[in-house]
Parts: sequence; C-alpha cells; structure tokens
Amino acid sequence: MQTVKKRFDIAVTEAGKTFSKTFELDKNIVSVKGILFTSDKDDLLYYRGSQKVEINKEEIFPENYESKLLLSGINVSPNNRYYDLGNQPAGNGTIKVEYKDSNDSRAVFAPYRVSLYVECVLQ
Amino acid sequence: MMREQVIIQTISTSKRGQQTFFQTKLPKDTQRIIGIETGLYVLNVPDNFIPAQELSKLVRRNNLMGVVQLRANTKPDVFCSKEIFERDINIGADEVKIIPSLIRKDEKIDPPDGNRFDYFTHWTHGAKREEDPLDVCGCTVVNGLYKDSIGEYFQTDVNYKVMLYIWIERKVNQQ
Repeated sequence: MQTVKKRFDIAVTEAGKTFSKTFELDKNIVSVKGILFTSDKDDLLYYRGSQKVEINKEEIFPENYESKLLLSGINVSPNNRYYDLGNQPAGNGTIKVEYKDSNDSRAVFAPYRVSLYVECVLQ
Repeated sequence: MMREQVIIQTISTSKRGQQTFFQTKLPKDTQRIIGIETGLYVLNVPDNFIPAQELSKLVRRNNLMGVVQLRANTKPDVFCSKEIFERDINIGADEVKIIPSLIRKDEKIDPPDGNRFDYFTHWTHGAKREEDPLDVCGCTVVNGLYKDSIGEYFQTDVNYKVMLYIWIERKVNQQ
C-alpha cells in the first residue's frame, strides 16, 4: 500500500469568522488514512480554532469540533501524529473544511495560517 | 454496519458557582457511547483574573474550571465525571531548556534548571489527544450537570464555554 501526504492551507485573516474551503485530491487517491492540523501560530489554532471536515460529502468531524483535538505536539512520535480515519473512501476526492475562529482571551488574534495535512492511499 | 460519530454539547458559564443542567439527545440508532472528550473557550474575564502562566519557576496547581458529570437516562448512576482544567501549566516540568549561545551572551540568563517552563507549551508538548474510552449501552439521552469552580476560587464571575464531545457508535444500514 503506497501512501502520499498532501498539505492544504487556509488563511485566517479576520477574528471570529468562518473560512470555508474545498480541496481536491488527485484522481489516483482511493482513500484517506489520516488527517492532522497545524498552524504557523500554534497557540491561536490551539485556543481559537474549531472546524467541520467533510470528505466526499461525508461528515467526518461536525461543526465546532475543536482544532486542539486534532493537533499533535513534538512529544508525539512522527509515525503517530495523524488522526486515524481507518480507510475513509476518497470518493470524488473533495475535502471540505469549514474553519471557525472563536474569541478566547488566552490568545489574542493576529492573522494566521491553518494547514491541513492529509495522509492518502494511492491506487 | 457500525459507524462512529461525535455529538457536541456546548455548556456556557458566566456566573460564579453556576450549575448548568443539560440534556443531550442521541440518535435513535445509537448502540453505545464509546468515549468523551472536552474542550474550553475562555471568553471575557474580569481584570483581576490572571490566566495560568507557564513562566513560573515553581510547579503550581492547575486552574480547575469546573466539573462535569454525566448520567444515562436509563440508569441512575453517574457514568462519567470529569474535571475541566484551564490548561496544564506544568507541562514543561523536567525539560532542560537549551538557550542559543547568541542570546546567552547578550542577556543574563540563569543556567537551565530543568524546571522553567517558558519554552515549552502544551500545543507542542501535549500528548496525542484521544477521547476517554467508555462503554455505555442503551442510552438515548445523556443527562448532564456542570458546576463552576473557577468563579468560586477567584470569587468573581468568569465567562467561558466548555465543549463536550460525546463519541457514539451507530448502527447504519448499508446501502
């Protein structure tokens, strides 16, 4: 089983807003094995972020599911960092992410980037 | 075919010592509850509330926000009771800090003592977050109680939201 990792970015430019983006996987990808969220400002993603994730129009994480639950720190072995989805069929290859920034007094807003890493299985 | 799904419940607290009772309805085809996760958003806080800092040289007590308790509608017992902490302020305990030599020359910095936490944060050093596993069958409604503690501790109103994630296993008809 050959796997490939993909990265997709969302720019969060305004506080308290939802940013919706749809990403396309390559045609030769049959399933999604795992996902991982990171950011260039980890603290903002940790305290302020939540998202809805759909793969092939199937809801994987519902709205308001916090980003901190999908983050992995450097304490976690690189082989274990991805959230395991089993083998979620890629179907039409679309991944829809609705990322929501919410106010939290522990992390003051500044524009930041949210990166979604996807571990995919090739045909 | 069994399928996992997460149900999200938001618990808002704005008053000191506030108790919140809530009910979360689960889908009809729920077979069992398989796990619980929690999260926290701290909203507006009064000026005298100082969020926990990692900068202390001492190992300190974490700020307890409150306690959530859950009951299944079919049974009288509490099946889950969890303390919600603001954050783990001692996450970097026992880590040796490495200070770049350039900074060391310019500033007077104490040698690493293995007990200073300011370079270590929970979003880099936290363990992989996974739900607390549970196995609760025959539940259609979760009855919950959340009791605020942080407001009592600081003797003031703190405004925050606790997020409760209930992982369930559903029986889905295969098409």
